[in-house]
Amino acid sequence: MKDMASNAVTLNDLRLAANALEAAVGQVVVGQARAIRLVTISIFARGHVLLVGDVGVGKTTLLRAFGRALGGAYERMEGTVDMMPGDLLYHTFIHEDGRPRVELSALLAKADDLSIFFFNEINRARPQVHALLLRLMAERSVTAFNRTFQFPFLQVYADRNRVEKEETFELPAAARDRFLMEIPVEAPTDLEARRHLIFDPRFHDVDRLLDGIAAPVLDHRGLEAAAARVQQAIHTSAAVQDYVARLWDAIVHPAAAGVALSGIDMDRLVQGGASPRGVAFLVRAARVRAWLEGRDMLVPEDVRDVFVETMAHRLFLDPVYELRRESIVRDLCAAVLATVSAP
Amino acid sequence: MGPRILVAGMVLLALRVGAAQAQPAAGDGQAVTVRAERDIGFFTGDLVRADVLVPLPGGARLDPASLPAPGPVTYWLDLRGITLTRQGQAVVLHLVYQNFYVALDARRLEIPGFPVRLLGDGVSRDVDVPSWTIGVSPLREVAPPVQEDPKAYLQADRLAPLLDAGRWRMVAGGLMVAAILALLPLAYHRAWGPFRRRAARDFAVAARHLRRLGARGETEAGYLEALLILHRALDGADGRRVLADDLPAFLDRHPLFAPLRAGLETFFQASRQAFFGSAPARARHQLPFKDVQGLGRSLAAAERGRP
Repeated sequence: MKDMASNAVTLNDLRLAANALEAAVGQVVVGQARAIRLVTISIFARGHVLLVGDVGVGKTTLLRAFGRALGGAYERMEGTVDMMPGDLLYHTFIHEDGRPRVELSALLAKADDLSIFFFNEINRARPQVHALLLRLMAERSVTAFNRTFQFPFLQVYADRNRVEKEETFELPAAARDRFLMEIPVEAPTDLEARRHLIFDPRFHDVDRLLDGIAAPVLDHRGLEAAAARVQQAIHTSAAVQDYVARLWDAIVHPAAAGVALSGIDMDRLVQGGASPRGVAFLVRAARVRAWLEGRDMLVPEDVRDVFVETMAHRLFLDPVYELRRESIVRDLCAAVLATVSAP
Repeated sequence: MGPRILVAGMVLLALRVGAAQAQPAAGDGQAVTVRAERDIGFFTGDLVRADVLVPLPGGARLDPASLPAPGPVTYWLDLRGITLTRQGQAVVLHLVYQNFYVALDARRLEIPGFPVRLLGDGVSRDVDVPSWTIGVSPLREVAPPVQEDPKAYLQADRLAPLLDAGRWRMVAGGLMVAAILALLPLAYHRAWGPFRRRAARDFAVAARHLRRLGARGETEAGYLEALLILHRALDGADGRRVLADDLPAFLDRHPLFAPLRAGLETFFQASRQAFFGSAPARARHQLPFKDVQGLGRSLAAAERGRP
């Protein structure tokens, strides 16, 4: 375990630790190299993550594996339509003396040590719950029992059910913008990985599978300081700053930047949403990527690599195009990256 | 004497005209006449044409409803058509009959007459178109000479007439030429054949720019501009933005430039140093301006090998 708060630890050692983290998770989650890389980036960028993917592709396993490899507590909550903010904070039950009792929920009980909080099917929960989650994400604190609970190491992961629409509440714009990334978790396409997942009994019992990660490879308590050091250490030249500024311009005003998609009115496609916070998140994630790649400077490749995952979920499209959102935003991002010159 | 007779004649004429107007009878000398083109020599299937001149006295008009309708007239005769033309104070009915009588000897047959109605001044009056006769003839003898071969009774088919196609050949030729001419704008639009556009020679343009840039003397800004010129040429050649990490994929797509892999790798490293490492001096040391020009020339030379 690395004591990352100490100054003796160089960025190089930190990178080795990050690589060990990826390797440990990669042992138990096969065929998800890209998702593992993106989660690692979000861990070192200290950002919250939206996960999208079909059911049963291994989102929970991925997060539990990261939870074990990071150390700290892991907590999971299922979003339901009748959930209220109080359900996140209070545990109500009948005590053995026959009287009703209200105590800390599992979330609050672990507040000091919680490193990963997984909110499954976030769009099944009501806006009241979204609001509480928003506060938790933005301030890493909640108020209950007349006092404030701090979550110093918290990273929120939320999964959005994207198939069913009944009794769901779409995340408000403000909530979506608070997530650093939206990471797609798809079933692996590699035949060998698929075969292993289906036939290898190792993957059938998740608890035993996760026992493969014997001890945390990182100390989650040092991540905050490590992330700050990474952000400081990566050189960001004027050329790459220009590049990011032009990318931002092109995604907000694609028509003016000469980006065209067939069959789409580019003047009205993007209604907004690529916020300064979003672009700052983009650069934050790109810096972590540069560091993971062993570089001390930010290059356009880093920005390009995390561009879709950090920007796509922040864009608000004209309602006419909202139903085809996924393919349109993907094409738009690809077109913007192909149009904006670097350096 | 003479003038007196003239006046008496005029008075008589005036009286007569008044009588004709008051009483437009048939017996006024203007009879219905039938004019047939001929009245003998009709075979089975021949058309019999006749014009019937019906005088219209005193502004009367023919009631079209009283005309016979085309169709069978008798068992051997059909009325094929009837048209009207106006001819002064008369109307001419153009009748076309068809004869179906299979005659065994030459004989006369009567085409029946029919009444037509004249309308005028609130009164109507029937006028008869008289019947007339035509002479029909047999096509062959009643008992032809006995033949050995029954096929001999049949006459050989007539040869089809040879049509003069010369004019149509000319028309077809003209249209073909027009079609080929019409293909030209289409070929231009779709960039077919001679109109196929050659891909732009991005590196040739870049090499030219680099030469001009070199002539202005070497500066740091000039060096960065040179790198940018090559970057834009690479972007243009690939139709997208080529970053350092894209080099292997770029060379896969354009194997023509594969021999320059080492030079391109050095170029991207130097560009990274210059633009993103904020260390142009190190980049100039790694890839001097002369080498940028040299790489541009090599790329332009490789580009000429492109089809």
